[in-house]
Amino acid sequence: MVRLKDRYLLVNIIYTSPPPHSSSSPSPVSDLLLYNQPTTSDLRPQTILKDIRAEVSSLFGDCGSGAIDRSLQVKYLSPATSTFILRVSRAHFRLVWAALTFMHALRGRPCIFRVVRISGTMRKVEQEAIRRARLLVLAAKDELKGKSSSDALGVLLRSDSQQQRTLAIVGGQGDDDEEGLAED
Amino acid sequence: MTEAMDLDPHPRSSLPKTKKSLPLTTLTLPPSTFSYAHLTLLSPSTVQLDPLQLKSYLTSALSQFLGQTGTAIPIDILSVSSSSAWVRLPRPDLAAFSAAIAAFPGISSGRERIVLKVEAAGDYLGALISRSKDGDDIWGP
Repeated sequence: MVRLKDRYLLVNIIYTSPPPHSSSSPSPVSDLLLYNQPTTSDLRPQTILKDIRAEVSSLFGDCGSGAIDRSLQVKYLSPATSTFILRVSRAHFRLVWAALTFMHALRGRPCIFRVVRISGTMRKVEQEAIRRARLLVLAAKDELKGKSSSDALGVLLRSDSQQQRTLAIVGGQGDDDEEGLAED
Repeated sequence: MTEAMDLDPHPRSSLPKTKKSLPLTTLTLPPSTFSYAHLTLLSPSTVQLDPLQLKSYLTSALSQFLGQTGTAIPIDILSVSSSSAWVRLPRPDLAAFSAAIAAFPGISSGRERIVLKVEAAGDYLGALISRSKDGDDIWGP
């Protein structure tokens, strides 16, 4: 039996400016909340796919877009956390990764796409998404309470091995409960 | 009489055995950095090829098939004649380049179509030239 191998990419959308129609609150928002702000809920997977395909076609031509087209799909999209999981064929996932690096705007708003996890199975990517969402919520709570949050942004930007230690400190135990990822 | 027959008139001590032939020196050809391609222009009317025209055709072919990374392939134009050209490019890109030229639909002006064809491609320029019609007299009559 021939196995079709894929790679699953967990991608964050990071914005650098406040949302355009936000309420007029002149108080400066912390960096953590600014970078990880939610996307408007009318963002659809087809928009992201269209943008990625256009970028791959521009960077890698007909050959590249034919290579990735077989199994390019948005498996999960969460506008609230500005995160999505992308499935790509294993042999050509670097083309999509490069295209994500070159993309600089989403529906007119400037942003960057940051690939934070690549895995061969959907389950591990889901676990990572849950873990990062939990860390983000806890860090945001600390920020709003006004605790010294110099480390909050670092928590989300650091690599895995250090994050494991931080996870124990922040209070999460482990993946004992499988929270469902279906939000829509 | 048996002794006489046993005696060898020319007793030979053990002959020195001939050694197996040992190589004097060994040389391994490293993979070459560049590859070479011989391109031909196919067009119904007499269209002269010059270096700028060739560069524009190559850019168009590569950008269509390979996008911006295709146009970033550094191609050196070695020689251009009226209907053929020799180019040099990095060795890892030869496969993609040949595929791009083969997939190139050509430039069509009106009802005519100008197409490029890869006559020969390889790592060693001398071998390619001697195989072509231009190289008949390189290795002797």
